[in-house]
Amino acid sequence: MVILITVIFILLRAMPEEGYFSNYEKMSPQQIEVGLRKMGLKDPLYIQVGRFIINAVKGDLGISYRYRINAKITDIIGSKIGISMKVGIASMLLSLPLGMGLGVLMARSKGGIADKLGNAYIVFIQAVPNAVYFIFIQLYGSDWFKLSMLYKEGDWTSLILPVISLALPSISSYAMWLRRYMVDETNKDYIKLARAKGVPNSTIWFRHVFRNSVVPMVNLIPGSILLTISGSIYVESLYSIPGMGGLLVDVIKRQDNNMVLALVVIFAALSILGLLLGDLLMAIVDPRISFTKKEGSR
Amino acid sequence: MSKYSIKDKVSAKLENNITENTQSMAEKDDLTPEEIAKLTPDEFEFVEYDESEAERAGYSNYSYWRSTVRMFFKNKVAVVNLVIMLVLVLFTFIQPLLPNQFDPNVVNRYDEDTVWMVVDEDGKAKLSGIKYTDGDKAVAVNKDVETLAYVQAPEDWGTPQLYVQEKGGVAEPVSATADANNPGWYYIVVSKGKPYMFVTSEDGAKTTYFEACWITVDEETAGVTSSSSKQTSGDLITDIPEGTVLTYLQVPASWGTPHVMAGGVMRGSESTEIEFLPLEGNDGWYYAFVPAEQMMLEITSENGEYKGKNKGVARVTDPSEIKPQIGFIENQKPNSVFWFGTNNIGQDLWSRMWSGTRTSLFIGIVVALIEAVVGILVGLLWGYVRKLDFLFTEIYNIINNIPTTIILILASYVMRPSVQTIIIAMSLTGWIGLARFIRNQVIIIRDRDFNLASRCLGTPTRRVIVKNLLPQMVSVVMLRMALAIPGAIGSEVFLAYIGLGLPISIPSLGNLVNNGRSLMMAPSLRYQLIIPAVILSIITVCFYLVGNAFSDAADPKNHV
Repeated sequence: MVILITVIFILLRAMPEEGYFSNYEKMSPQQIEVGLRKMGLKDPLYIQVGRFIINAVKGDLGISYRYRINAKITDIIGSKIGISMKVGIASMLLSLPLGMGLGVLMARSKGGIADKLGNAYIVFIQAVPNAVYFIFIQLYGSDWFKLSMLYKEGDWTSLILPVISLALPSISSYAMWLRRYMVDETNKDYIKLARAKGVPNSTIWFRHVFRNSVVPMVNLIPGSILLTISGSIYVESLYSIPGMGGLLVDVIKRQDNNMVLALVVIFAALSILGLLLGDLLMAIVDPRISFTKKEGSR
Repeated sequence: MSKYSIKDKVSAKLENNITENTQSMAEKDDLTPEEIAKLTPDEFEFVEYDESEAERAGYSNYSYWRSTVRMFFKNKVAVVNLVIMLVLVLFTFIQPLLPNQFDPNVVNRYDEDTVWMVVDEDGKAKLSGIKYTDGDKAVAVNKDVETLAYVQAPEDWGTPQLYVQEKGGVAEPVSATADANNPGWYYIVVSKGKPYMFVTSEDGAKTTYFEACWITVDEETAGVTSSSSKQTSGDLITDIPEGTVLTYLQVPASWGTPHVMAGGVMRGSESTEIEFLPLEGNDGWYYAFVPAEQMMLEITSENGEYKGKNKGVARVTDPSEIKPQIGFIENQKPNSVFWFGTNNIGQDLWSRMWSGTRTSLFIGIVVALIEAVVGILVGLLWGYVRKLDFLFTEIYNIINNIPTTIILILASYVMRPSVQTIIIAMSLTGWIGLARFIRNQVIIIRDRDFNLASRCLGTPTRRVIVKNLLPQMVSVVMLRMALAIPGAIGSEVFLAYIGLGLPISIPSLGNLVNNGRSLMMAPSLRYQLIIPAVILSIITVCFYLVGNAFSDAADPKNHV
C-alpha cells in the first residue's frame, strides 16, 4: 500500500504545474515559484511522500485546488460516497440473482437454446465496449420509457437506467463464471457416483453442483460491494450522478492534481480491501481452505 | 491343489511355455558374463547424434499447426467472423486508395461559386453547394458577378431547357452545355443580375417552376407552411381562371375538410370563404383557385376545433434562386457524396470512419503484440529462473491490486494525449496477467515426464521451450491477444469519453463515438453516433469470437 502511494505520488508530481492553482494563467513565474514553495512542492520527493502518508493515516487527504477552491477533500468525498453506494448496491441486488439464475439455466441446458442465447449475450457484453451500449441504453431507454436521462435528486425512476447499465456487465460475468464452475463440477467423479447411487437429479444439481460452484463466486462479492462505493466511473458521469466515479472524471478534466491523487489512493485502497475480504470470506464459506496453508488459488 | 484341476494344468503349461521361450531367446542374443568381460571400449563407436532423429522417437505425421487450423475451420461461426474481420481490416487499408475520397481532417466547405441542382421525377428541384460532379469544374467564373450552375434532370426529360429571370421579371431561355466528364449533367453560367432559374424538359411538358402554391399544416404544432415547390404527385390542373392562383392545401387527417377564409394583405380587409375540393390521387390534399388579391388564408378544421397558427400565403413565387451556399458542409445526412454524412464541422464521416478504424486497430494490435511479447518473456523468466520468482510476484501484487482503469487514467493523465501515450498506458498493465499465466504453466509443465524425456535425449532448453512448453500456451496467448484488441479499442473509447483520448485531429473510433454522443439529443443527427457504434461493435465482436474459436482450436487438449 505504501509502495503504491509512493508510485502514484511520484507519477503525479510529474504532472503540469497548472493543477495546483485556481488562477494559473494570471500568475507570473515568481508567484508560481513562491506558491509551489509554500505548498511544500519544492521539497525533496521523499519528504513530500512521507508527509502525505502521515496525513492520510490521520484521515486528512489535503485540500482541493481547482475543483472547489480550498475545500477539504475528505468533505467533498464524504457527501458523494452515499450516492455511489445507493446506485451500486441496487445494481448488485439486481445482478446477483439474475446472473446466478442465468448461469444455472445455462449450465443445466448445456448446448441447448438457453445456453446459446446466454452465450450470445455474454459475448456481446464482453466484446462490445461498454461505453457504446451504455450510450444506447441511455438514449433509447429515456426515449421509449420516458425516463429521465439525467440524475434527479429524490426521483428514484431516474436511477433505473444507471442501475440497469451497471448490472448488465456484472450479470454477464456472474453467469459466465457460474456456468463454467458448474460445468466443471458436473464432470467430477463424485457427481457420477451420486448419479449411480440414484440421487435425484434436482438434489444433485442444488445440493452438490450448485453449492460447490458458488464457493469461488463468493470471492468476487466483497470486492464488487466495495467497488460500488467508487462507482462505475463511466456510468456516473454519463448520467451526471454526483458520485465518486463521476468526481474522478470531473477532477481529471479540471486538472486538480490533489483530488486525483486522493481519489486514486482511495480507489486502490478499496480494491485491495475487496480482494482481502474476498479471500477471508472464501475461508469462512469453504472449510477446505485454511490460512495456515499457502493457497495459490485464483 | 488338485491334480485334476484343468485350470492348474493350463496355467502350468503356459508358464512353462514362457520360460522356455525366454530361455531360448537368451541363448541366442545375450552375451555370457565371460564374453562381456572380454569386451574393450575400442570395439564401440558413438552413434552420430541427430537432434531431429532424437525427437522422432515416437514419430507420427501429426502437425500441431495443421491440426489447429483444421479444428478452427470446423467452427462455422468463427470462419464467417474471420472473413468479416479480414474484409473489414483489408478495407480500412484499401479505402484511401479508392477514387473520390475526402481527407478525414479537411473541413469541407460549400462551393463558393457553384451550385448543383438536382431535379427529380416530380419536378422538385434541390439546390446544393455540395460538389456532385466528378473532375474539375468546366469553366472558371468570376464569383462577384456570376455563378456556375450544374443541372441534372431525370433521363426521360431529354435535354433540359433552362430559363433565367430577374426577380419578378420575364423568363428568357438560355442554352445549357452538356458536361463532358459527367453524363447527365449540364452547366450554365448564371449572372448575379438574373439569378432566378427554372428547368423544363425538352418538350416543355415538365418543369421545376409551377405557377401554383402548396400550403401544408403541421399536425403537432398547427404551423402553416407555404411554398411554391411541387409537393403533390401527378400533373397539375391546367385550366386556371384568370387572376387566381392555384393553391394546394394539406391538412392533418384529424382535421377533416378544412374551412378557409381568404383575405387581403392589409389588416382588417374583408375576407371571404373559399371552398377547397379534395384532390384525387393525393390523400389529405385539397385544391382551390384563390383570387390573387386575397392571398392570406386562415385555415380551420371542419368542426372549428383546430386552427392554423399563422396564415397561409397563396402566391406564386419566383423560381429557384441560384446563389452559392456559404459555410461548412455541416451535419449532412448520408448522401451520394458523403456516404456516411458529415460531422458538425463539415468533415467527411466516411473517411474519418475508416481512418479511425485504422488508428484503433493499430493501437489494438500494437498493444496486443507488446502484451504478448512482454508477457511471454517475463512469464518464462518468472517460471524458469527461481531467483526472480519473489521479485516478480511482488511486482505482480502491486500492479494487480490497483484497478486497471485507474492505471489507465493516471498514465494518460500524466502524459500528453497521443497515440503513443495511449499505447503505453494500455500496455502498462496488460502483460501482467499473461505473464502470471505463463509462469504458472511453466512451473507445472517444466518437470513433467515428457520434458524430462526431452532433456534426457539432449534437447536444448531453447527447443524444450519452443516445442514443448509454448504449444501448451498458444491457446491462451492467442486468446489474450485476440481479446486485447477489442479491449484496447474499448479503453480508447473510454479514455476519449473522459477527455483523455486522442486529439480530434487523429480520428479514432473513440473520438467518433464520443462526438456522436455529444449530438445524440438531436434525433436527426443520431447517424453520427450509430454508424461508428455499429462498426465498432462488429469489429470487437469479430475479434472476440475469432480469438475464442482459435484458442479452442489451438488447445492441445482438444486435439484428437
